[in-house]
Amino acid sequence: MIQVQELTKSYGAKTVVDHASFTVQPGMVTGFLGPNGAGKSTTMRMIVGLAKPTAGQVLVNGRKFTSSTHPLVEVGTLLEAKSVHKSLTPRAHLRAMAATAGLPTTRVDEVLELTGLGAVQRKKVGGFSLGMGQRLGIATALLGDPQVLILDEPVNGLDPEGVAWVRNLARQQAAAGKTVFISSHLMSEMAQTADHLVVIGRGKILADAPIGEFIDNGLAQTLVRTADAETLMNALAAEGVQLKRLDAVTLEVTGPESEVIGRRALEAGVVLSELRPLQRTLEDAYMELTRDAVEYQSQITTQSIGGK
Amino acid sequence: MSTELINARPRPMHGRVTLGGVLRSEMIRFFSLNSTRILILVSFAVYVGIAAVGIWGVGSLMESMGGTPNAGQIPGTESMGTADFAAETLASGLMFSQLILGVLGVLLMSGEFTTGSAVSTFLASPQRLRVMGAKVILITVLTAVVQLASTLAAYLVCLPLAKNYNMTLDFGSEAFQRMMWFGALAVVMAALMGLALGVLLRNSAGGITSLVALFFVLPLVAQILTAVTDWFADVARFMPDRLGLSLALPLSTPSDLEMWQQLLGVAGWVLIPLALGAVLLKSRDIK
Repeated sequence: MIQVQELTKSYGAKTVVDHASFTVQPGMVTGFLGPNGAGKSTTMRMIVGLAKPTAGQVLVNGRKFTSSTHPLVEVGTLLEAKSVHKSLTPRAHLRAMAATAGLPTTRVDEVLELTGLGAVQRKKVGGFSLGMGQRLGIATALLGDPQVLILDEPVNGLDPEGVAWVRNLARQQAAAGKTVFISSHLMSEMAQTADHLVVIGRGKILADAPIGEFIDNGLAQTLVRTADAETLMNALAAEGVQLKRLDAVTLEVTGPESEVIGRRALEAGVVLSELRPLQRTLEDAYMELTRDAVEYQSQITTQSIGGK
Repeated sequence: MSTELINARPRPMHGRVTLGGVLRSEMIRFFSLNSTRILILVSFAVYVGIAAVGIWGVGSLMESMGGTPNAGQIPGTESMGTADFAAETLASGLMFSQLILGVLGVLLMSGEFTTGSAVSTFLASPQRLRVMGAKVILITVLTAVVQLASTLAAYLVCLPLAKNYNMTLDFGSEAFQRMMWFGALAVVMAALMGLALGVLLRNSAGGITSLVALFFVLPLVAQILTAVTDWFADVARFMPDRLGLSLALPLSTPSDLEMWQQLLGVAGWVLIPLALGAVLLKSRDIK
């Protein structure tokens, strides 16, 4: 279990993580979503003690990771694909990591086999592709068979087979009762892997909810086609209704359910050629959420400037 | 890739991190790298080579002057031909050993940050000072052993050369032992200063440049300033290049400091940068 409490990280005047609080539960896969520069990696670095929080704290299994006596068994971490000395072989790197924690060399062979690196275990890491580096990072994370797995963009650079493998791995680890925390910007991937989502934007936690709830939480979207778009737009115009004209005969309506739109069209005598509720994907929900965050931020800035 | 193995492994993991474990880990990585092996070999070869050339040069010079008995007649050559002088001639390459193995010290720490492997290292041992402690132990033992071995090899190579010119090279003499052990100390000092610079600057090029500046440029500046103010004469005596060499080679690098003062100076140059490095390593973020 990872407990993030009021976590804040500032570099000078810039706040990268802003009072973030959430809990990553064991037994499920928790996805960590956010646009680039939202503070995902910084948050993960603070969880494992590589970066010091400006304020707040993180507890891993109830205490700070920096005081862990069994770090590799407690937390397996993948932060960057190539956090390995370029002149080392995967085998030497893993043997060195295993030696730190007194893990047997047989475990090194196991994770090399597990991640498909057996054939290149004596090649230098410097010549690895991004995908190979990523596999080595995952091998390192799995070395201690840890209770908590923290993976920052694990599928970056992996081929489809590798992506599927990471997904299975995450699901399997969660099923075994472990805590799995994965960051990604690939929504489709998260939709298939995660049980729970934490969304971060501009350092603030925007959402922390089960994945189903996250998708349904938004407003209904409907695609409407009619030859008389003007009349329908007037009939629909109301508080909380967003109208977007896609072309002369097509509207995208956000807010009311499709049934309400149909009734309004009937009342106004408009003939509809199409009335189709749009399936909201995780990606849509995410885009909406992060876009709102950006707008919210700029409003604050405008207000504070106006107030002076 | 297969996932079956994850749950198939029945035995429990212990995984407790100890200083011994970190030290083993450091050794595995250290000896897996070509750069470290090359630096050790270069230091060894340069030291032995300079020793042989030095003995040969002094020997042939004495021979051209007509042998040992007359050497004292020319001013400045009084000590030439003595066993003490031969021992110090053998250690002519000491400063190069200091620099080469000092660079090794820099790389041992800066390599973590320039390659990004610091992330892995400090995830495996979140207690950062334990990692630094392991590196201090490793570089101290390693550079001391390399320097002692180089001296021994130089002795074996130079023994027939010295015999050829009727020079005395006495392994058991006080001068030889002083040269060997204090020479190793001088090398360890440089390596630990390099390690400290590596952790302070987190950059290989910067660390190596600073180390060279400390050993070559700083003494020069101190010398110039001595001409301006007398007070700097005291400071100049405590420059890192002088301290290590004057302990090992009192004939060729005389110092008017007491031995305890020199040792204190060495300790200062080692402990202050290391302490500073430790404080910063603990407080700064790992990138």
